[in-house]
This record gives sequence, C-alpha cells and structure tokens, in this order.
Amino acid sequence: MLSGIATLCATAIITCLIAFFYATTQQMADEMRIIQKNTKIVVNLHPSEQRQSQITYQDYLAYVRPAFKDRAIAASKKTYVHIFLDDKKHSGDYFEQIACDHEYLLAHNLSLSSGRFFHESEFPQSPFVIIGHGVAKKLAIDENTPRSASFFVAKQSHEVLGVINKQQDKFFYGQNNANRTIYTHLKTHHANLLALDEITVQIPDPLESERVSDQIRLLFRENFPHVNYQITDMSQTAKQIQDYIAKVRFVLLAFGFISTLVASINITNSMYAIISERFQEIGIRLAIGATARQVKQLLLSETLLLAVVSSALGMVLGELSNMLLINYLNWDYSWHIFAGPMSFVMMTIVCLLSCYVPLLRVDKINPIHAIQRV
Amino acid sequence: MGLVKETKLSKIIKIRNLKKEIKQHNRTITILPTCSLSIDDGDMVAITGQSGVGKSTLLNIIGCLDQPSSGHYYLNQSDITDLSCTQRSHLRKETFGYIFQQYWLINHLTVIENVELALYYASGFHHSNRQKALDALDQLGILSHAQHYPCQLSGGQQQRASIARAIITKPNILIADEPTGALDHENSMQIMQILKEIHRSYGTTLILVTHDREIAGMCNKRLPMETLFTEKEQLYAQA
Repeated sequence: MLSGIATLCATAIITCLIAFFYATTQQMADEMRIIQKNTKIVVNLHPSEQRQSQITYQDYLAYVRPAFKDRAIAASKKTYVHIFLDDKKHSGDYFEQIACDHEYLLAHNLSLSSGRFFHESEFPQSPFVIIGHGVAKKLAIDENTPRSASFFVAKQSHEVLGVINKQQDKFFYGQNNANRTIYTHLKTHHANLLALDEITVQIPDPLESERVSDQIRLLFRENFPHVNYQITDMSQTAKQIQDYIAKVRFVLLAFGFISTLVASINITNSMYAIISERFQEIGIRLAIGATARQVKQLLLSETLLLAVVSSALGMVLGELSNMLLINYLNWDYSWHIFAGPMSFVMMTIVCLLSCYVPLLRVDKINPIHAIQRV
Repeated sequence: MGLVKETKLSKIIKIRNLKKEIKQHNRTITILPTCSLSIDDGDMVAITGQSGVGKSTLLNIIGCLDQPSSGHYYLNQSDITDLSCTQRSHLRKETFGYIFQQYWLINHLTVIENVELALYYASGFHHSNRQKALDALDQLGILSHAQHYPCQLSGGQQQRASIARAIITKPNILIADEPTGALDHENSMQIMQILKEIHRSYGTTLILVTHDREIAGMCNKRLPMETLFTEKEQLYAQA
C-alpha cells in the first residue's frame, strides 16, 4: 500500500514536472520570440515637480528625436482614465491611457486590426483615440467599424480611430497591457507642460543596444542633466529571462530527481516490509516446492501490478495538476502527450529496480526457519 | 549376491554421520548430534524420542528443508548433501510431500487454492489442476470445505487439507512432523488411518516424527533417536 502511494505521488509529481518543464520551454520560446521582435531600449523617466527634472514633449521634439531620426522612437506618458460611454457618466470603466506620438506603434512593434494610427502631421481638432483589443471588447465596440464608435474622456467626446491587434498575454514579458489601453495623441494635451515618463527606441539589431544606450546617456548628460532616468535594454532582459528559465529548469530537475529518489527508497522499504510480513508464507511456498525465483516472480508481479495502477493514477493526477498550474499562471495550456507515458514508464522501471535488492533476500531464506519464524 | 544387491538398492535414504550445529552469540550449539540411519523404499517409519533430542531437525534435513553441518545424505544412492538451493527446491517438489504439526496452510488462500498451489509449483498451471485438487479433498473427506479459508476449519480439517496438499503431487516420500501433535485422540487416529491408507495405496515411503508411543506403534518400524547415535562402524555394518 505504502509503495503504491509512493509510486502514485512520484508519478504525479514527475508527470506534472515533465509537462510543466515543456510548458516552460514553450512559454520561454514564445517570450523570446516577442522580445526578439521587440528589441528596444526603454528609457523610464522619473520626473519630479521641478521643471528642470522633467522632459516635455517639446523638449523631446527639440533634442531627443533629432538625435535618433534614423530610428523608430516614441515618447509617451502613462495615466489612468475613466472612460464614459455617454456624457452623463452612466456607464464606463477605468483603463490605462497612454498619451503618445505617431511613432509609438512602430517603436513598440504593435499592429492594428482595423482603422489607422495617428499621422505625423495631423493635429487633432477633434480628439480621437486608438484602443486596445480588450478595451474594444469591454466597451462592445465593433472591431471592423471602429470609427463609428466614440466615448467620453474628461467630458470630451473622443472618436475611435483604430483598434490594436490582440496581443498575447505572457508571463515573463509581453504586450499584455496593450489590450487594455487607450492611446491618445500627445498633441491633444498641453505638450509644453506634460512631463513624459517613457521614451522607447526600436533597435533592429540587438548588438547595437549598447551603443544606443551610451548615446542616450550622453544626450541626457548634455541636455537633461537633472533628469532622473533608467535605461532598460530588452536584449539584456532576454538574457536575464534565459538565466531565470535555466534556474527554474534546474529546480524542476532537482525536484524530479528527489521525488524519484524518495519514491525509490519508499518502494525498497515497502518491499522489505512485505517480505518480512509474508516471511512465513514465503517459507511455506518454498517448502511445498516453489523455487526462490518463483517466489520472487510472485512478489514482483504483485508489486508491478500495484506500480502500474498507481502510476496510471499518478499520471492522470499529474496532468490535472499541471493543467491547474498552467491555468493559474495564465499560460496557454497544451497537452504534452509524452509527459504521462514517460513518467509512467520511468516509475515502473524505478519500481522494478527498487524491488531488486530486497528480493535478493528471498534467495537466502531457509524454508523451515521462515515457517518457524526463526 | 543378487539378493544382497537388491536389498542395497531398496534403501531410499541413507544418512551417514550427519550432524547439525548452529552458531549463536559466538557459541556453537549442537542441535543434532552425529547420527546415521537408513530407510527402505516404501517403508513407514516413526522416528521417536524426547523433546529437544533433534527429531524435527533430522526430519527437516531428510526433507531437504534444512542442511546439515557435516556428514552425508544419500537419496536413491545419490549424495545430496551439498545441493544448491535451487536443486533442493526441485527435489522438494519432485520427491517430497510435507505434513506439519501446525498444518502451515496459507491463510489468505482457500483450502482448494492451498492444495492447488503444490500442484502448480510441481507441474505448472494446467486446467486439470482444479479437478485433481478436488479429488484429493474428496479423498480426505473435506470436499465441502474446498472454498473455506483455513481459519474457518477445525484442527483436524486443516490437517486433512495439509495432507491433501502433501499427496497431490504423488511424492515418493511423505514427511510428517508430529502430524497429530495438535489434535485430540479421535482426530489423531483418523489422521493416522488416512496416512496408513496413503502408504498402502500408493506405496509411499512415510517418515513421521512423534513422541506418542501409540502413534509410533501404528508404523511398520520405530527408530528411537537414541539408537541412531550409535557407533559409526556398527551402522555401516548394518547397511
């Protein structure tokens, strides 16, 4: 019974680990694909109340953008707004709002499912917005005809200009917020007063990231010495994620190894206990003509049957655990067909190997001593 | 000359200077002093003696359930003293049937399964095994208890089941260690009648150990343990 429980638990853990290992690998590959598609440098600005520690859109147009005119570069300011579907504030919701310029779409490698983004030259008399896929869904706006929709931001009616393609939600890094964001043009705000909080530079070649970072530092030292900022290099982030995943994998492997070892020790102990419990029976069987081999086969077949049933249950339990874990992490679940059978075969082999040493004891049993329990 | 030869061949068991010692806490304890004996094929022999004299140890060695520390054991003129465990296993299932004082049936198997088990180990699985086991139980008068577990039977019934298990493989030698030791007088007599009938019908060599004079008296030959510890030369001369 104990060996059955040990086998069940170990198989469940190993199935879950194998499936989770592959899910992590899959997830990492997706993340890396997104990161590689979005190799960029993000300059996070931390403005204070003082004007000299701020970079306004005008400053950006005057100093930053000309320095990177050959690259996709975008400025933005993030806030939270309450959007109302009518001017009487009857219904609506809170969303993230990003005030950005026309190059934001390019710098962040976003694409539209319908409509259009801001043009460089336009200065909106009537304010308009671009919305994320999640916002469109939440506000029941038809993706195909976004321009017929409008809503109110700060009592002002905004026309929907376009809808951004649905972005994949990813755990480590992704464009998940893009789905729940509305984008307004920086020019609709008081551009001279609004302090930017992010500048993004797209880098097609990750090898350039260091050079561009240095260029940004130099630019800020010369023009904005009092601005507090932080440069995040996404190619570095990719490396960090790879390191992180490697560590996670090592932990998974170590956990799997320890589970297998513990199960193996349990099975070995259980086998010793079974032989000890059935010592007299083994003696009787040997006395009436069974060979040690036949007795070993009997014990092994009983253990194997238990192992097979336990492993099968463990396989199902492990897959269910993995499903719950993936669901909890909000990843994309995919069934790894080989995870269950792999752990099933592995645990059956472990079970057989764990029984081997205890079963050697049967060879040394003297039938009459066993019957009399000497 | 021919008669002498025939007499020598009829000795199924010959034991020469057999001794059994065990080591306990760095001390050597003799549990069977040096002894010798011969048993004729088809004989019904009772080995008698007081408790602790080594009767059961001798019987276990004869039945290949135990090994001697020294001496020689010839079965059908072959020296089987130093056989391996596997060889002794084969010999046990081919030559011997065992009846124990405490019956030693496997408790989680039914009576029929216990009897069938001996047949399975002797000749493998056959569809006819079940019928043979039923016949054996019928012969022993416990057919109606075939599907019962040992704990549901009386002592006499358990011993009958044990005898059925011992004779189902049709062994040449039947070893019985105090077969009536745990039974009342009436049951003891019935069991002895059954054993005598088996001996008579199949010509099986029956070696039983008992300290009961009445039981020993029902056998063809009595071998008191004390007489087996006599001088070697004399025993060789007898052989």
